[in-house]
Amino acid sequence: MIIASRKPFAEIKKSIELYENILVVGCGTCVAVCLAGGKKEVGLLASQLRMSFALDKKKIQISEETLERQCDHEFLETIREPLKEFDCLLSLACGAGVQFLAETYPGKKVFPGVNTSFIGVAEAAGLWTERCRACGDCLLAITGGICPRTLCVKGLNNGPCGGMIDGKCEVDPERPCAWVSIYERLAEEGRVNQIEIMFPPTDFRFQTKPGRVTHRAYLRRYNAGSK
Amino acid sequence: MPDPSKFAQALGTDSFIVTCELDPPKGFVPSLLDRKIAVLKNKVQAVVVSDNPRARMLMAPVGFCRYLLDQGLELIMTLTCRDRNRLALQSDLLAAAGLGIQNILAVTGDYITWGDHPEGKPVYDLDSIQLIWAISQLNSNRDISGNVIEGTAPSFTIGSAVALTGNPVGPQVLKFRKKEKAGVHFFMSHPVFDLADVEEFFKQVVEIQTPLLASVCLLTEEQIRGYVLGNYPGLLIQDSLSDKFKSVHSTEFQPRMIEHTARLIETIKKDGRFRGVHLMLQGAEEQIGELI
Repeated sequence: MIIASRKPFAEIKKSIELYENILVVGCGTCVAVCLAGGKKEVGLLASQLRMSFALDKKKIQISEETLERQCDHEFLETIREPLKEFDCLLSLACGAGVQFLAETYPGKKVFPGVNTSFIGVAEAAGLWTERCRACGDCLLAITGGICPRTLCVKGLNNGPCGGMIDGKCEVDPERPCAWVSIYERLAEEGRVNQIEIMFPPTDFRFQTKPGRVTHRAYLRRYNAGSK
Repeated sequence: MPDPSKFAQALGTDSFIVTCELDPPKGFVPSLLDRKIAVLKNKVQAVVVSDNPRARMLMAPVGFCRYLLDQGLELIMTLTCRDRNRLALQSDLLAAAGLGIQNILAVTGDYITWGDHPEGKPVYDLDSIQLIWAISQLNSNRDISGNVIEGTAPSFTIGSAVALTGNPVGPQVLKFRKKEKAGVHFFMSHPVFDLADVEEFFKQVVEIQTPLLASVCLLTEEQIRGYVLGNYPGLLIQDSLSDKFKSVHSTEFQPRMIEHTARLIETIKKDGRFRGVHLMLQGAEEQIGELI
């Protein structure tokens, strides 16, 4: 899932203080799970904003709404009517959700309330760590289910750098070296030979921005081009 | 094809090779380093010109190498994967070949946050093994996309690093073997402080076909006193060494460290597994005469 964390309160407040009628829009999927932008966080932020503006003696109306997802037309459409009364939307969705909200409602001032961090997993309650760089050319089949492009700070394709010390990363001695993990896992499984050949340079055409994926069914239905 | 470099020829003999690292200037006046250059010229087979070492921004190695070539030095130009994508790496190599630089040390590069521009974007478009392969391709008159390189093919002698003291050693041996397959001609180790630390590596790599130079680092007082595991990239200082020097008074530190390092060089020379030493003197290049 997408992991995000809330922006500092002062930054959020400063971005919206020119407006009078603000809707804080949460997202009920990834950012809700990582406790950054779900219904509960919308409520907390809205209360904090109300108290802060009240202390400043500013008359600013703060309302709350949380959608199932902000990255989907179906859910964004549900707020088309109520949205008309607001002059500012503060979205607690990831960067994709914020942009889709802004795109769906041109003319509305849209501001982000979280910083989007990475694609990751919940290791424990309150601990999320990165697992995928969305490179578009997955090599986990060869590297024993451990991604060097994500977990090696240098994204190396062919083994550890010389900075690895006692199995730990050159940059963070608390973190295991990704290539040591890959080597040990493959050694246990009797598959080290998979990484003995040189991986060719990464083909960055798979990562050309902005990305686009089209399902076969979409092409059939809309008779769209191959892209 | 041009004649092999003097360094490549030296690798083909039985002579014990000495190379020394020299950082380009943090500035645009290479003559500021003339005193060091004059001393090194008569003491080493080749000067290894570093490439933004420890991610500190210095003069581009290809420019500094040009200056050193004019002074008549034999050079090994370091090229890291940290700061350039595949186009920039290959075009710098073409520039190097055009200037007469024939020896390249292809390395990954210390991570950018160690240096003086920690907020910058690291590249690592190629890794060191892919860079070795890219240089081999250029030696065959092709770039890595298969396009023909015009004119006479370069004859780069390709070097790379090996972490002999890496722990666990298995992944470092794997990388060593891959570098050999990619076409490396010589290896320089990461700093070695005690030959006992390299034994695990040599248990797995019993016979080395590719010439290997052991790197010897003249440690500074600051490094010994401030060392904590992981606070300096690629440096593994055992407690036994720190303990030996921690009580040494500042005025005595460098002479004692030079004495210790000179003994280590002698041990390496007698060991038989190394074709030479690569000295990392960290600013004390003018004192090389006291070490060899």
